[in-house]
Amino acid sequence: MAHIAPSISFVRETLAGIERGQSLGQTIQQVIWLEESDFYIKMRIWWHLNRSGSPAPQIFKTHFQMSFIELLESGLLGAPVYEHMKLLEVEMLEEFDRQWKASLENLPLKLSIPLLLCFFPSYIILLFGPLLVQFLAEVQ
Amino acid sequence: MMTQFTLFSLLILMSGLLFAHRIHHHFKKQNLFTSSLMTKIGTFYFLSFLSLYILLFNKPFQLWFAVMGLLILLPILVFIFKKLHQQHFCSEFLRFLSVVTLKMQMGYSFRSSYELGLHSQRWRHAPLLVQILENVVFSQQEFNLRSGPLGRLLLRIENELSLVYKHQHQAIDRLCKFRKNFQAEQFFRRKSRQIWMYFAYQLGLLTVIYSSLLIYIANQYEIFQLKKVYLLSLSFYFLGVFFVFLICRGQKWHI
Repeated sequence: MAHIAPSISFVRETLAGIERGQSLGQTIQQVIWLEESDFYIKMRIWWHLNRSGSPAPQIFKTHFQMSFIELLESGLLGAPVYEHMKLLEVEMLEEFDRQWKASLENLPLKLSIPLLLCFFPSYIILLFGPLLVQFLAEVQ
Repeated sequence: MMTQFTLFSLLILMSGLLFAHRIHHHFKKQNLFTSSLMTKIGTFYFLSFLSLYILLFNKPFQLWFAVMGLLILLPILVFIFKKLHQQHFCSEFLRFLSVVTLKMQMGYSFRSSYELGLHSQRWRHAPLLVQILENVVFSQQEFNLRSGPLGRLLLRIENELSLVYKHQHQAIDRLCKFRKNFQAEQFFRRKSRQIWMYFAYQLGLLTVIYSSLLIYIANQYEIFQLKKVYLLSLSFYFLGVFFVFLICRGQKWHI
């Protein structure tokens, strides 16, 4: 989670490519090879299928990803998509912010499980284990 | 027995140092370490090992643990240093871009602005900035930092700046847009990193407490007599570390 969501970085790179004056197809062809994350690999599959004229596969899970694919497909057919993509980017960044806040709120709760079940017993064993062994030896 | 242990730890030390030297050489090639910093790290390690040998010469098992601990710490420190270096480079590069944009707005060409920006103040990452300029201006030259996150970042910067260099008529607009995008990206990366840092701090703190406790207990009681207790405790500890990593890996963006 230490990086930006791959879908967001893909949208941003695509927008940057369009802003540089490249065609959408040319931009996608460059961007799909920038990362090795799951989303980028899916985009490569989609791109390959799109070039061969096959319909888009059902591999994209979130509605942001599906909307992005729809936008790309209409863009490749010649429709103007830059403004829509900008709006999608804003939506995605808002969602990123929402998920980030939710993750931060849930972290202490999630981390308390290994703390209570593993770390705490390891400290207890280390502290009282030798004493217990000595005590048992003396009793025997 | 004691001599064997000492010789064994010396052997580990030597192979570890050889390994460390190779890592340092690799980072030096990437302009991550300066020679003076490498000398400082080397001296620090040499002195630490020497003091450990003097202090724990009669306690081979503790010496072995301490030497191993110090060697394990090296790649962790190098990793942290690399991450910090990358973060610092990003913030410095943003400041540097502002200087270059300002010079360009004053009427200088991209290359002159870049060179003036380089000499305007003392940049900590000046060798990297010079390398970027060389790759942009002499584009046939190979960029030697193509792997890893920093390599990819530098490659992206190089590509963007070479476009600015080639299209002088839109240079300021391009540079401003690049700077704005880069800044926004850094902002979101910083946010994202906060979650990862939370895990790292938690784990770091727990490890420090556990190690101190382990050292204290090992000094108080005979190690071989209570090996089952230590093994059980260590198993629980590593299980905890494994769970933390599992939770950390499970954190994904659903966008």
